[in-house]
Formats: sequence, C-alpha cells, structure tokens
Amino acid sequence: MKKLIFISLTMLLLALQSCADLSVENLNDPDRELATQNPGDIEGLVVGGYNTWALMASWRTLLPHTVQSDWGTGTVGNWWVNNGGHVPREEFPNTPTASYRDVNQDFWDDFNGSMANANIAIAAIEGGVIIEDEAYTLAIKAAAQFLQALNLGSLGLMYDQAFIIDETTDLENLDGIELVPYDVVLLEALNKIEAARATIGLARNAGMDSLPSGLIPSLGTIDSRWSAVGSTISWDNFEKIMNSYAATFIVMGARSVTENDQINWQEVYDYASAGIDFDFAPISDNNTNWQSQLLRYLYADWVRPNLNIINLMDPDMPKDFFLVTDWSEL
Amino acid sequence: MLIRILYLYSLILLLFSPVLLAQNNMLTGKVTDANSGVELQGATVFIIQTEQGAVVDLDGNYEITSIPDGVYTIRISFIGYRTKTVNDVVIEGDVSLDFVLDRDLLNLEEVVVTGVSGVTPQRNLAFTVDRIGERELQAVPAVSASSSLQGKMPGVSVIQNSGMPGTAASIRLRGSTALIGDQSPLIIVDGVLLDESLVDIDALDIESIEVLKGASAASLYGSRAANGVVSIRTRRGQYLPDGAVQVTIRNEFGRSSIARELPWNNSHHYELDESGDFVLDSGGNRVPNENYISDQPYPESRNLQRELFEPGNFMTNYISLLGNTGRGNYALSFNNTHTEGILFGVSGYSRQNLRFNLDQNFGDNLRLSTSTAYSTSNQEPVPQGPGSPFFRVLMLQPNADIYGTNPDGSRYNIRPDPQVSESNPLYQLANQERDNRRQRFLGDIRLNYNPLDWLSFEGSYSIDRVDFRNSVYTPKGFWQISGNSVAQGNGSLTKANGYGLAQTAIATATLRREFRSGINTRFRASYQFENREYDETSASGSNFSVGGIPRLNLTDQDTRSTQSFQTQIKTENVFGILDMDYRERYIISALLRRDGSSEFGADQRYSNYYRISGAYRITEDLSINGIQELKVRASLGTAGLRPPFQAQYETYSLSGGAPSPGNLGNRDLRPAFSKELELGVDVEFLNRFDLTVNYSNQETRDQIVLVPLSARAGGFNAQWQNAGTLEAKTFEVSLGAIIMDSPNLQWTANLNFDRIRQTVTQLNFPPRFVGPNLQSNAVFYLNEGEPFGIMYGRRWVRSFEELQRNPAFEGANPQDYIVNSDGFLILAGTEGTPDEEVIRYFEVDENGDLVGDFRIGDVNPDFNISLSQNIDYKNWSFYALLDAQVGGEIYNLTKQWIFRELRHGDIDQRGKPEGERKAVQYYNSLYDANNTNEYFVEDASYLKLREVAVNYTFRQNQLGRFGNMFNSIRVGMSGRNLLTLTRYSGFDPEVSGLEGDVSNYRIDSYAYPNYRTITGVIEFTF
Repeated sequence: MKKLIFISLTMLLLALQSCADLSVENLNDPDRELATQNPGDIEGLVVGGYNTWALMASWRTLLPHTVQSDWGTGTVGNWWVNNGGHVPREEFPNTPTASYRDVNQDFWDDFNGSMANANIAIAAIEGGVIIEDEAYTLAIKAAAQFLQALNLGSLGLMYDQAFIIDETTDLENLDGIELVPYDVVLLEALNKIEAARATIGLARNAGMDSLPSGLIPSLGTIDSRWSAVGSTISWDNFEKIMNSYAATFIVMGARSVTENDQINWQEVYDYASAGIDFDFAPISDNNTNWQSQLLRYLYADWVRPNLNIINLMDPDMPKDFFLVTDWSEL
Repeated sequence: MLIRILYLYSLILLLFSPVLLAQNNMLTGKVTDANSGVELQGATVFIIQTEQGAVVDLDGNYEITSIPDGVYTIRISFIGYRTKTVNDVVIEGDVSLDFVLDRDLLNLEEVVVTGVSGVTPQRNLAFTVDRIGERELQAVPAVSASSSLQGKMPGVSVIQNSGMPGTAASIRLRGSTALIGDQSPLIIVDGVLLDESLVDIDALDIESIEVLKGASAASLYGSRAANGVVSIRTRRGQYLPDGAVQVTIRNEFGRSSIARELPWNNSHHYELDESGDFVLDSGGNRVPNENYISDQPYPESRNLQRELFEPGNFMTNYISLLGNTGRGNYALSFNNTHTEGILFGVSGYSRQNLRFNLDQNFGDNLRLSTSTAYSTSNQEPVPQGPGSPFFRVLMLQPNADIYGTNPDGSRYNIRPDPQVSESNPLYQLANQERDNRRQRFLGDIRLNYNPLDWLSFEGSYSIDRVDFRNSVYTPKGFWQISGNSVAQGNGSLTKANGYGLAQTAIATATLRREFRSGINTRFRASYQFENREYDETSASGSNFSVGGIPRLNLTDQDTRSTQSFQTQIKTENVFGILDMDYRERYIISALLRRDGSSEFGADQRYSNYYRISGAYRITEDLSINGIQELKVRASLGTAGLRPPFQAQYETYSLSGGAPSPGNLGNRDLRPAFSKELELGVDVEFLNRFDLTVNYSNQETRDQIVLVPLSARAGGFNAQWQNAGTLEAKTFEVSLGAIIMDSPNLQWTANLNFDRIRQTVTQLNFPPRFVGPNLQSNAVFYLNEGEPFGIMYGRRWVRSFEELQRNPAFEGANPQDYIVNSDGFLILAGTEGTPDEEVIRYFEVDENGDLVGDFRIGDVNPDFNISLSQNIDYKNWSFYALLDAQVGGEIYNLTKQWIFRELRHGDIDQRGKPEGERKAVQYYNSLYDANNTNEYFVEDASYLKLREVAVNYTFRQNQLGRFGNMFNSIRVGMSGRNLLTLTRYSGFDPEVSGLEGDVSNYRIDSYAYPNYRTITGVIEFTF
C-alpha cells in the first residue's frame, strides 16, 4: 500500500510539472502597438474616427430623429422609425430593457469611440510623433481636434450628460471621471473648435494651407455631384465647416425657452456668417457607402417627407396625417 | 533428522497441493438466452479460483481444459445479459454444464469508462454516469448522433432548433453554466476530443453513449467540462466469438413531411365587387371595408405553405462487417444517407461515412487499438431567419401565384404579390445555387502496454480534422425587386473554405492493486497535450461581366472583398485520479487536474480542478426485503469553461485601412469555474425496478462576458472579463421497470423526469439583453437575482386598476374603458372598430421612475418527462418514445412579424362570433413594430411521440433456403417526430434561436421547421 501511494504521488507530482509553451499570437487583429507603430497609423486613427462619427451622425441618427421631429414619416420597424413617429409620442428608448435601445446606445458608443481615436492621435502627436513633417503633423492634429469637437458636440446635443475625456485624461484613473451636463459638454466642443483653429494657424505658418489629402477620404471622396469645393479642402473651407458646426451646437443645444433666450445670438451670427457657403455632401469612405444608404432610407424608400414639411411647400396639401380623408387625392 | 522431517513435510505438501491434484479435467457446454434459447456466441465462462476462462464459439459451445479437481465458482457473462455466478461447482473429471442467461433488461450490469480511472461497473460509481446502449440507440436511429440522446435520460436537453437536413441538434446537460455562449458539452468519440459538432457522426455506428452531466462527474476533463461530457463509443468486434465474422446490411427508405402548418390569415379587409374582385380607388388601391375587419375571402386563394413545403425522400444504406480473430477484432462500416427535407426544389443533405476500428494484441502485454472514421457530406443550405423563404412565404397574401412567370418567361415570378415587398421564395430556391461541402476525418491510435499485473501504460494520439467549402452563387440575370418594379441583377458569388484541426496526445500510467484486506485501488495519471487550429478564408464579388460562369474573376473588381480568420489553441493538462473501494461497499474516488491553455489570460495560464466522491452500497452490508441494491452517493467536483480564442487580446479593428480601438485585452482572464455538488440514490427493488434520484447544485462563477466599457475609456469598446455567477439546481429521477418478462414477452419501460432551475446570482455589469437581436429586438434579459432565460418586454393593460398605475391615467374614468374579448383593456366603444387598440402598461417603480418593460416570459420548463417502451413479443419488437415538456415559454417572433402584413391566423375574423371581431388596426397595435411584447409569448409545453418502431425478425430457422445465407432478416417501420400535442401556434414547439445558446434563447424566428419522417427498414445479418 505504501509503495502504491508513493508511486502514485511521485507520478502525480511529475505530471503536475507543466512544460509546454502556451503562448499564441493573435494573427487576426493588431493590438495598439502594432496598429500605431508607424506615424501614418496615427493619421489612420483620425480617418477611422471621422468615419465612425460620420456614420452615426448621418443616417443612423437621422432615421429615428427624422420621424420624431415630424419632418419624416415611415412605418418601418427598424431603428425605432415606426415607434418614433407614434402620436402621442412614446418615451425615448433609453432604458436597458427597451427593445430599440440601440437607437440610444449605438450613438453613445460610437461618438465616444470616435472621440477616443482623436484623443490617441493627439496624445501621440504631443508625445513627439512626427507624421511626415511638422506642418503635416499639425494639420493632422487640427483635424483630430475638430473631430473631438464633433463628438463632444454630438454627445451634448443627444444626451443630458456625457464624459469629457480628452488627451489630457489619465486613462489609468478613470474612476474619478464624472458625467457633466450637456451644456458643459457643448461648451467644451466649442473650446475644441477654437483649439483646432489655433492649430490650423500653426499649420499655416508651417506651410500647410489645406486639409491633408490623406484625410480627405475620411470626410469623403468629394463627389462632384455633391460638392462645390473640389477634391481638396482648404483651411478656409475647413474653418467654414467648423464655424457652421459651432453655430449648430450653440443653437441646437438650447432645450427650453429659457435656454433659448440665453443664447448669445451675436456669437451664433458670427459663426454662421463665417460658416459653410458651398454645397458639401461627402460620401464617406466609399466602403460603407453610408451616403447611398442615407438616400435610400431617408428620402426614397423607408422614410418619406412628412406632410408637415410638404405643407410648407404646398399649402394645398394637408398639414397632418389625421386630416387626410381621401388618400386617393394625395 | 532435520532432512527427514523436511522431506516428510514436503511430501505431505505435495500430496495435498493443487498441483499434485491437478487433472486434465474439461468443462464444456453451451450458454443460451433464457427466453429464446438462442445460443449466445461470444459469452464468457470464467472460473474464479483458477482464473481460467473461455468464450462461447460460433457453434454456441465453450470449452475450458486442464482444470484441477475441485469445487469452484463460475461466472458467466455476456454483453446485454445479467452476469450469473454459479457457486459450488464440483469438477472431478470432465464435466458438461449448460448455462442460461437472463437479458439485462434494465441495463443493471453496465460498465462505464468515461470520467473514471478505468472500466467501472455502474454500481461502483460514486457519481452519475448515464449510459445508453445499442438497443436504445438503434431502435430508431437518428440521422446524426446528436439527436440520439433526445428523451433518453433525465437532465439532458436536446434541441433541434432547425429542421434543415444536415444540422446538428444542440445538447445541454442539466442547468446552464454559461451566461454568454452556448452550453454544449465536450464530445468525445472513441477517444477523439471533438472540435466540431456531431453532425458528421453516423448514429448507426454507435455502440454506446456515456454522459457526464456536470462538474461533479466531469472534473477529469477540466477546463472544457463544466458543460459536461458526452462520450461515444462505436462498434467493435470484441463481443463476437473467436473467428466469427458478422455482416449487417441495413436499408431504410421513407418520406418526410411537415408536421403542422402555421395558422394563416386567409381573409382580407377590402371591399369586393359583385363579381368577387377587389374594388379599387382612382389610384388603383384596394378600398378597405367599413370596419377594417379581415373577414373577406380572396377571389383566388392558395395554400402557400403547402406549395413551399413538399414531402421529401429519406434514405440510408448501411453495411457493417465485424470480426474477431482471437488476437484482435475489427469493425468496418459504410453508410450512405440522403435526406431531402421538406422544402420545394431543395436537394437537402447527403453524407457518406466510412469507419474502420481495429484492436490487435501483440503477445500478452501489448495491445494496439485504432479508431478511424471518414465522412464526406454535401448540403444545400437554405437561408433562415428574417428575409428567408420561410419569412417570405408567410408574408405573401393567399392570392399570390408563386408559380407565375417573370417578364422573361422564367418560372416563379419574383414579385408574386404587388401589395407586398417580399420576393417569391420559390424563385430563390430554384435559381440560387447554395452548396456546403464537408469532409471530416476522426482518428485515434493508442498503444497499451501491461508490463505487470498491476501496472499499465498507454499512449494515444487522436485527430479531428474538418475541411469545408461553401459557396452561394446568384447568377447574372437573377430577378429582384427594385422599388415598385422588378429588374434583373448582375449576380454575385461568395466562396468560403477552411479547415479545423484538433490534435490530442495523451500519456497515461495506471496502477491497480487488490489488497487482501478487501481494498481495491486503481490510480491513473495522465499528461495531455492539445493543439487546435482553425483557418478560414472567404471571398465575394458581385456584378458578373458575363453570365453562366461562377468565377470571382468575372465579378466587378470594385465589389470584391476577401476575409480570413485563423486561430490556434494550445493546451496542456495533467491529472491524477484514484478510485478505491472496500469490498465494493464503500467507494471513494478523488482526482486532481491542472490545466494550462493559451486561451487563458497571459497572467492566468493555469487553473486547477478537483473532485471528491463517495458512495455506500448499503445492501452489501444490510439485507433489505425487496431491495436488491441500495446505494447512496455524493460527489463534489469542479470543472471549467475556456474563454473564446480572441477574448484575452487587445484588438484594433481596421476599416478601410483606418485603425480604431476594438476590445481591451485582459491578461487576467480566467476560465469560468464551475463547482457542482451531486447527491444521489440508486435503488433496485422487487427485481423489476431500477430507480435513480439525483439532486445537483451547480454554481459557475467567473463567467466570461464581453463587458462594454463606459465611454469607451481609452477608445476600447469592451473587454472580456470574469464578471458573473450562474447557479443551477437540478432534480432528476430515472425509473426503469420490467413490466413483463416471460419466455415470449419482454416489456420494459423507462421513465425520466427532470426539473431544472437556473438563476443569475451575480453580475459585475449592468443588466442587459443577450441572445438574438433581430431588428434591434432582443428578448432575453440578464438580470442579477432573476432566472436565466427570462424575457423582457412590453405588457398590455388588462384592467382599469392596472391602467391607474400609470400616473398619466390618474384621473381616468372607469366608465371610459372596458376589457375586450382578448382580455385587454380598451377604450369603451371602440371594440370591433378601427379605433380599438391595446394600451401599454406602465407603473412607477420603487425609485419613483416610470417603467414600461417587464418580465413577460421564462424559457425554463416546470419539468421535462419522457417515457420509452420496449416490447419484444416473440419475433416482434416494438419501441416508442414519448417526450414531454411541461411549462416554459417561447417568444414567437415569426408570428409577430407576419402581423406586419396581417397574415397570421389570429387576424382572420371569418368564423368569429359577431362582437369578437376586430379591425386590423387592433392587430397592428399588438404587432407594435416588433417591439417585444407579451402577446407573442407562448406556452412551449408539448407532448411528442418522438420515436416509434415496429420490427419483425425472421430468424435463421424461419428463412427456409435463405437460412443458409442469413442469420436473420429484420423488417420494420420507423417514425420520427410523429405526433405533437401542444398549444404552441408555430410549426413546432421545439424551436429556438438560430445562433448562440439555443437551449435558453427560445425564440421562433423563421427557422427551417422540424418535420416528421416515416420509413421502412430492412436489415440482413449474416
């Protein structure tokens, strides 16, 4: 018996000595080290950030909000379009148990995700990464700062509260980060626009006079049918875009009559006056093709203009669905 | 003097020693079946004292020679029969003794090999290892091995969530262990640890299936075993007599057909003119009738379900060759299976299996065993889910002519119903080429060396290799709906191919010792190394430049895309297991295991598991009237679930070449850790009954969950974390009974019962939906403190009291509301009018918040119960399996979505009493744009006549001149899924989501319906 126990334990101890190398490399997705090992990757982060933001800020946002704001109408169930148009209005699906909670959650995730791309890029540049040369690097930084503004502005417009996490935030100590009200978030968006403007000034001084061509795909291959600015975006035109967004953030950020009354309309006027004065409709990265989806879903197929809007253009048309008595006359 | 004494003493010893007494006595005779008298070729006769034995030969005789005179105990055994021990057999000279054996109708003599240190009688187990043998498996053989377990043992849920031929059923053992992912057990076939499902395994080859249901039994398999283990052994020739060869040829032919149709609305709510045609307005639109009530017959009506579902053929051809050479045995088999399924124009699934098993002894100490299987299959897959043919056919109106022609004269007009935007399901089935091909090889080779009686070594290597090639070809010119018109597209092609490879090498040492004190010990130590690889590449393109050639090069370059994905998993495991018993009365088993895996986080590469089990066979000490065996047992064991390959890694995703942070890595990711306590009692009583009762409490912590990161800190979306605990309690009863046992009639029955409760006891993240997410419409909700498998969604107000719980209706007047004939509160005066609609229920919770989503369903059954019957009357045999689920619910999204087009039978008001008829707007309010709501939660209870078989066996003496050719010929009829009694309104209550955890995501979402199959069987044995 003792012999058996001895042999058993010896074998067990020998067996318990592990020996294999169990490290396996993930050959499907790069980690941060691989994904950002080249300065050009930093530019790619900004490109990716714009794509993410643009997808969310365009048709994904527009579909549910279009019907909710009564300038579109549709019965399709996807993306809360059907429910968003109900009269009386349903509550917005912002609880974990809501069926169409993605309408609320996807924007939060992707605006914050896009913001993170910008943060990583700016932190890398401020950490000394040079992309091609100093001027080019500054241009990328300016684009990243405007991306921060776009995301903070989108968050401030859509949510009551949001986090303000930028390149200065200590990611190791996120517990101390707290949600701040939307007006503070929107104010920070304006700050980022001004920061981008300052960086554009530095880029100009360093010899860059337009948005780097490498970033163009992120804002869209500028299809001649949709844009009057050609295939490059000068800093002047870029600043016009920034100014228009700044005006939008201020005006749309007001959520009550009181807040509306508190708007500095001179500031809005100044931004709007210096804002976009040309047709501009990028088609994103030519891959996700969100512009064509926007057309399909928003104007041609799933969602149609609301009678309320049609009535503005043709007063003979009824203003409200419920006023229609004979559909054959429409 | 001393020498003389020694001499005398030696002489006395010699005179009385067995050696001197040894004679060349011979023991001969026959061993036969107690009922039929059939000779039992291959039965073993063994003399305990001399350890001499013989196997009954081809003529039914046995012979043991060189037996010394004496009084002996003789043990006679044979597979499927109760072992008989005959005491006090006096052998002086040649003796002839015939033995008869009784069939082991309740399988009380079975031995198991899974989860233990070696071959162990079930009576000596301290934990549950359920086993089903060839008799139960081959009564109505399933097409695939995974379906073979359905209804055959308690605590085993087998769900065939899709009837599509070539689809494996999902297996869950006892309660759930994983919050995310599936609950599939580890599957082993002849020692091969499978990396893929059982879909390629031929059920006709299976000799037995052993099932370890949880950590209390399956700890031996460590970090892959928290879901339990299913171990399958295929046929070998070891039970045949020396020199015997047995050939079996089996053919089965039959038809499959849909078991039930979905209730469908055959009416509409439009005005008809005097000739029965639709009245149209100036815009060409149909004019609704005054009350919008769908009670008008269509001018022309068809049953589109019958046109889509058409009976198909079922066929299997099987041949096996078993042999025993004396020094070894072999088994060779081939199977050809083809099942068309029940869908119009779809060829279904065909598979060919080839198996060769070999055991060969070299000398007395060395044994080589190999098990090899090869299969090749071809499946024409059918799209399932929203947008699939099952979806489209139910969306069309009954007047749609799906056999019409397209503008170019081709059949099955793409848009048969101009009122509906769905295309013709027949057109896709007839014109799109879908092809899935698989090849699979399973191989196991092991060498066993026994240098000493008490010591043996074994080395083994096994491999599971799957190669697949899938393609979907939509030809140029394929009609499609474009806006309000139809147009021909330019076609597309998608191809995917890849392989999976799992290799396992094991080195084992086993020590056995039987001590005179009555203590029996067996110790086994093993080292196991696994290497698993997967590599897949796919490519697609659209817009062919020329038609008729399915080649990617001919697609538009701008539309082409390629993807690839590859993984490798390396694992090493070591374990030791010690089984001990004292005179087979007090039984103890203990094991330790240490697993290391590349799937664990880099800082958590190893994890440890254990099991300790004990049993007491009371009736070995105490004699209790009427009770032949009483055993109590307890087992506490642990096992794990490994994270998915990608879980531990930090990832960046690349879209159009632009990187974005994906998931945050986790170096501390551990396998989920499951601990199970099992308490059980086994009783054999009145020589007729075999009762097993188990209670299991299983807790699985460190659940592996992809947890979203708030505000994407650092840019990462989410991180795989150990973030929750799931508890499952299972109560199981299994009762086997011999109802009749006479020379002409043996009738046995098995009753299985289980009740499972599963609760989410801890979540380290906010509650959230899980499971299928169709049109943003998830159903199943994870919430701490609530059962696992619950549905959350909207409720409708059913009383005025409920209405007032919503502050918005605080001042409402009860006179303004009534409860309608469906039991929902509506505005008074609206019933039967277009204004009638349900009202959403809201209430204020304890925090003062208004809430509008509630728990509306629970997939968990109250209990499951099954009853199988085996009746053998003379040459007839009858088998039936009844299987029932009582309680539990299904979310019927199939029903809900077709409310969109007003096509469900609920909306058909024809035949409804006046006063209960409702306008289509009412049903539109229930549809609620596919928001999850209580109206579509349905009772999943059912009673199924799952399997029936009637066979008649012609024995050799009945075959006349064919008796020289055949040992027996069996003819019979089989039925699968024959009859279902249920209140569930879908095709089949055995339905579930199309992906993920099908045992818990019970949602009906346009899956290929399960169907019934009736076949005839003829089997020749010679």
